[in-house]
Amino acid sequence: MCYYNGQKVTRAEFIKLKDLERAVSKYDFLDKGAISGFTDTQVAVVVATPDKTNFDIVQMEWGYIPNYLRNREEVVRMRQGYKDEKGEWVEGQPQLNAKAENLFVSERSGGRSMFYDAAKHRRCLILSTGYFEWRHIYKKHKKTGKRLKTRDKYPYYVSLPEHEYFFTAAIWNPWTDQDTGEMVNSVAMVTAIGNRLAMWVHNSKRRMPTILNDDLAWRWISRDLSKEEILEIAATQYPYEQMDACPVASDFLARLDPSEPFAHAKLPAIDLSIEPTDEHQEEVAEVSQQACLF
Amino acid sequence: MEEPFVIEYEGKTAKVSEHHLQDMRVFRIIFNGTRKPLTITVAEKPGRKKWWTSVPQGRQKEAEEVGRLIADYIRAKRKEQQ
Repeated sequence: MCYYNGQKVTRAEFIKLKDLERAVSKYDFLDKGAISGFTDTQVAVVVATPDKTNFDIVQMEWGYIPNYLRNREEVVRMRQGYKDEKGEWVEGQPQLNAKAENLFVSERSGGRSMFYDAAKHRRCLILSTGYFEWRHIYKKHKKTGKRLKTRDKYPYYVSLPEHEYFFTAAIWNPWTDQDTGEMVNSVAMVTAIGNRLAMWVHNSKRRMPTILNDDLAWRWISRDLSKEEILEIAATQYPYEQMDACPVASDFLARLDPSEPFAHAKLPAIDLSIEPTDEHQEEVAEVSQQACLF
Repeated sequence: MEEPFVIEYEGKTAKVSEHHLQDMRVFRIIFNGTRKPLTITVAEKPGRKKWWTSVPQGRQKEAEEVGRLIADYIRAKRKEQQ
């Protein structure tokens, strides 16, 4: 299916070489030594080629920008929040995610969703090696032992141990700043109702990225799908048995390897043999430290 | 990682330096003359068969020819050291 320099290669190899292209283009060969990786605000996105016989990897800005926003100032307002005419604070909406069930119907108004056209015509995949999610654990009153309303947050790194890379369903939108003429492709990750692992880890919202296997991923970007088919694929719950969740350090973003496992004292263990309840999400003083699941 | 070295390609010298990027071994070749610098790496075909390729795509012939010269150089150097 994939060709690089005219040679047939596996998808994983193609992705590796395309990643390398980006690194090479940015690398200053006058510098010495090795580079471990690059970070910027853009994400690697897989799109089908125009003839839909292959795919390419491009970079897009993560955070869907709807066409009704006129300029960057309005984008920043939408993402970070603002005070309305009455002086009341309106929460920011970074639009990093698009709920599967709201691809065609707006969650707020019940009318046509701003994702409608993108879901129908501009489907893509965000390429990922894993993602970070926060587990919220209730605190207990030290004397009475009663559960408090406040919760501590513990970050987890979620990955697919059998897959170096995996695909997450996404939709994209080309946007032009009407003041400056800046053109940008922005992307939102599609999310589904969480599987058992997501219910344990992302226990505040109980949702997860729509992770697709190779066949579904290819269908998602390369076929003309009906609304029903799109909604069905978008709601895919990847099997939790094939996923891994590992606690990581609270300051993981500042670490050289953010996905390095970290044992938090008092973090109750995850038990995938059962559906989690609120009682499972309480701080337990004398539990063994949580390690990787598998 | 190899120290920078010189090879001869199509009658002209070219300077080769090795780099590690994205966990891959990459060779950067600076030609003496007007030819544009070339970056190549070893990739895998299905069946674990290895081959030289240019990064980015488009200079496959040069990648294969220069890659072979680089491999010859490294092999010869290793033999000398044994």
